[in-house]
Amino acid sequence: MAVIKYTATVIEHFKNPRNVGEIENPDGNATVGSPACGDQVTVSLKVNDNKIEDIKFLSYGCASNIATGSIVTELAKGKTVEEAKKMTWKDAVDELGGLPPVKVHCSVLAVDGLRAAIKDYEEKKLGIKHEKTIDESSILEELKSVIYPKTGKNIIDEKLIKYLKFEDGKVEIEISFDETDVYRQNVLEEIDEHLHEIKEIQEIDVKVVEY
Amino acid sequence: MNKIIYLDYYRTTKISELVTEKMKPYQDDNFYLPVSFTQLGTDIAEAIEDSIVRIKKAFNAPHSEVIFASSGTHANNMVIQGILRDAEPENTSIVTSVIDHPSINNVFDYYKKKGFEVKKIKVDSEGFWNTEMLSENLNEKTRLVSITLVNHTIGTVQRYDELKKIIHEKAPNALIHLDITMAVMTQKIDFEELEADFMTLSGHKIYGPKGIGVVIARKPIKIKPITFGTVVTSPFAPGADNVPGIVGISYAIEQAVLERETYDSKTRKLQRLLMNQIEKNIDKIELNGPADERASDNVNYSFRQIEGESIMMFLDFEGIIVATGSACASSDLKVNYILSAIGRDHEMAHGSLRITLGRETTEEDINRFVEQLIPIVKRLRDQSTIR
Repeated sequence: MAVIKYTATVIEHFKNPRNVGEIENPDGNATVGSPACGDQVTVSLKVNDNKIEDIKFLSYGCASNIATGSIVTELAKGKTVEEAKKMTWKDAVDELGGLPPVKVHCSVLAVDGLRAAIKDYEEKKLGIKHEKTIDESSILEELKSVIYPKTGKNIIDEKLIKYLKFEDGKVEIEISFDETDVYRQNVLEEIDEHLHEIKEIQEIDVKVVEY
Repeated sequence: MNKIIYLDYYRTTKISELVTEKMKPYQDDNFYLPVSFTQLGTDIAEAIEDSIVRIKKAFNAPHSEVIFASSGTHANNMVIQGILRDAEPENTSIVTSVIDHPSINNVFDYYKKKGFEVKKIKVDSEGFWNTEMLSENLNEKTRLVSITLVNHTIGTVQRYDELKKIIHEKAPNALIHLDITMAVMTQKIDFEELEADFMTLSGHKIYGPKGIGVVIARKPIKIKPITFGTVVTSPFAPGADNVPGIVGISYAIEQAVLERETYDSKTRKLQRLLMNQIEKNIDKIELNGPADERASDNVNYSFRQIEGESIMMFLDFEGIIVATGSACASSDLKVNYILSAIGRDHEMAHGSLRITLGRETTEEDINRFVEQLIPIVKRLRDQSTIR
């Protein structure tokens, strides 16, 4: 069994998280994740002159959830909106000196929180509409946010998805797992959660192929 | 750092001094195996025989055979798979509950895939088997009922006599398998009175060594071997005997049984102290498992708005070791199935702590634990998304 432990930087941010709280009258605000999955992050921000002047977060979750919330807000503070949008979960993980593969999804959530808060800012304050056509490639793109806990890489790059079809609001997916894979349920729940957020999808049919 | 406060006795225990001492010769000069017609081999064979007698006596199991396994998990597999080995799936039904240990539950899942009829009885909000559902799901096809006497997460002590009565009435062909792993320290175990066909337990949960478990099987034995090799001590456990483990677990059992009443009344007092302290000082919590019919060394609470791994880690920084049912802290990222089965929502299951007491726990440990817990819960709630 792999030794799973946090780096000293993760522990430091967990013990003394930066930018904890909520901004009053924020320019952008978003909550991502859910208590059902065991982690949730709220990010609120203040933008001035196209720069993120202040940013705060709240967290319901484990140590890595708190630490990634802390590091992402710290990295984003002072950046322009465009710069902040380009931040990836990889940046957060690198800044923390790495995360155990099983915890990488926490960094994805924190960055998703930041992006959602920026999106909220752009919609509310700048009147920008974010409309995306939903098709098979955009669904695959969305599923890149689902991390395979065994390796810390996303399920698309891991080639777990064997088949995907989107037609008339229905997504059909075939995904393969080893019989002994302990992360099967976690991955299926994550897929479900991500696809449920897309309003164009009415029906999800995931088939598991064992090998 | 202060002294470690260990409150995770349900995960594992330290081998007692007595057991260490009794095992030592068999890890040293008496390293041999039970080989007939040699002096050293005969001594070893006698040590194994003495261990078996010690175990039978401790559990009042004269009409039984004692079989050694490599763990509690192996012991459960030996019983369940040993019963089902030659059974016909279409004529065989097996029964357990939704909150039994994975070493029972997952074996049942495997046999379900193989076409056996598998019934998992639901439990109420305190973890007691639903007797109506049990009654409805027993019949002449029922071959096995596996019951865990004390639940390993929430400490529920099953109303075994009630279950036994129903099984005897409705399922004449059923064998009763009782997993007593978490019960040995606190419950009276009398194999004759319990009328079980099999009992299983593990060494390391009762201040014995790791890597050893025991099956106590009523004679005539109703299981078939599931592993094959050189038969030395038992046809059900071929291969070289774990002699130090066998000697060690026999003394661990004897010591646990002899000290049971003293242990139980001590841990009961500490349990009440801990529950009172938590309930007095922290709001938005719920006790998991029953208040009264629970093992005296188990406490399990859920804390709203916060997640267990964070609580566990902050306690760990202070040298306090507990367990959590949070999915984040589990090896498979799944929410604890027992807490889900007793009706806890995700937030409550993730925010749970299992605090288990043992021989070395003191009142001071409890007080220090609660003292540390209060500010940790507060700070995590202050920064939580859930209000």
